[in-house]
Amino acid sequence: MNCQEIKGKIVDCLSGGLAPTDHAAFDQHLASCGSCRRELDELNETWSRLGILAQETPGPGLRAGFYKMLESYKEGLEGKRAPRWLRNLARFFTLRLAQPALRAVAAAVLVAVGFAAGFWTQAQRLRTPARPMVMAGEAQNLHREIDGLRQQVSLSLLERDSAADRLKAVSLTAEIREPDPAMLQALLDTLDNDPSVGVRLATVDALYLFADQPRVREALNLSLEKQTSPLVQIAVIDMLVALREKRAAAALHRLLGDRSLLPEVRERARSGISRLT
Amino acid sequence: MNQLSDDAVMSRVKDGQVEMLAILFERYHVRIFNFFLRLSNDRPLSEDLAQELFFRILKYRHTYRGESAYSSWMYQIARNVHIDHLRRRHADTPLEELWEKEPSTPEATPAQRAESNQEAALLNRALARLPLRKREVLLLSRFQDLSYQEIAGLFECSVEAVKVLVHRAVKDLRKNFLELKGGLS
Repeated sequence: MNCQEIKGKIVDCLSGGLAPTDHAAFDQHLASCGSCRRELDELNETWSRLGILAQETPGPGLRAGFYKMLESYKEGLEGKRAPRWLRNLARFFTLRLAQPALRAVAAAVLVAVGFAAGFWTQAQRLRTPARPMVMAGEAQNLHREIDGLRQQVSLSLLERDSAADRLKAVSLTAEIREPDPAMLQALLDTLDNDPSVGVRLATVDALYLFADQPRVREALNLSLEKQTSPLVQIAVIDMLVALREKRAAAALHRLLGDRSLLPEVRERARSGISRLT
Repeated sequence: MNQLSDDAVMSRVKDGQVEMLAILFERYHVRIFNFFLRLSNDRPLSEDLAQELFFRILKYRHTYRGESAYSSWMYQIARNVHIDHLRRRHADTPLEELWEKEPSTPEATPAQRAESNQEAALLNRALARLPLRKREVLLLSRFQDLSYQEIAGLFECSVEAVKVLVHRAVKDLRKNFLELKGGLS
């Protein structure tokens, strides 16, 4: 080992990570090189001295703030925590369904699930060479049917007065593979017009799943100026930045022109512009 | 439950059991707070940044892949939180400059001068004089128990480059410390 190589090994030595195979060569060099020996001593002394810096304890506000944030987040996501569509539907059936129309939709979902189970069972029994092709088609049709039913349920729930129901509707959309235009429009309307901040926040998250659609990106851009809640404004900004939506820079500039904008939102908008440009 | 590995806990958080994040909070919040504190020398700000970090872990939990250690993923987010803070506070200064230049540390207050005989106070001031990049790499390797390999992953550079940076950081820290101790500050 030469002096240059020893420098890297000194750093390994400081952190206790010097490879056993390097020990002999390391010691041999130090024994014959006063300069490297002195450097090791000096750096080791400083490294060890850092140990006197005691770990400080944060104030109680950090823990309290964390648990409050966690609780709010959980409440906001209630319904999304069960990602399986069956679980969502099961939860739906446990709702106190007041409207006959909703009961009919619920019954239709049950029928669809029954059909799905029937098709799959039949497929297991009939394993002819031609069957897999047929099954694939049937399964696709079933997925489409179930998607359609989920969308009907979501659209019905979105019209209800209860914010909790509308939140469930938004959560249910996470299970929809291919939303039809009406479903997307309902979500976008919810984002812009729902009176509940919690529902609008959940809608921002839900739209992330459909962000590959230009229409959704465009609507998120336009929605920036319509939002009045700082929380939703920040969520939309974060979403647009996460999506690397370059066109959002112009919308963010327009947002900055709003004098009533809260400083936190202003900072987030500025940060968003710098990331997007 | 507390016996679960960080990765196992985070995987559950990712799968929707967001309340499990409390376990990771209890495991890491003091360390994370100290990381921000040594970077910023500002207690209220460090608490805010720690809070923001855990919020982002929740928000971006779907990006957790479990390919590297949980702590590496968490410190990557922590660095982003700090960088975003710097961008907000120093909007006119390029980030690269913030990382590399020596900070303009304020003169010691009378209280600081009174305790300047205390080694820890001097060491803190010596640390604060390091450019941000050196301070960061030193804190991650000395106090946060990250391997040079993990730090290289965070900094997107080679392990050798990390070692060179650590070497220079310790050397500069020693120089700053001796200057302060000798009353040259």
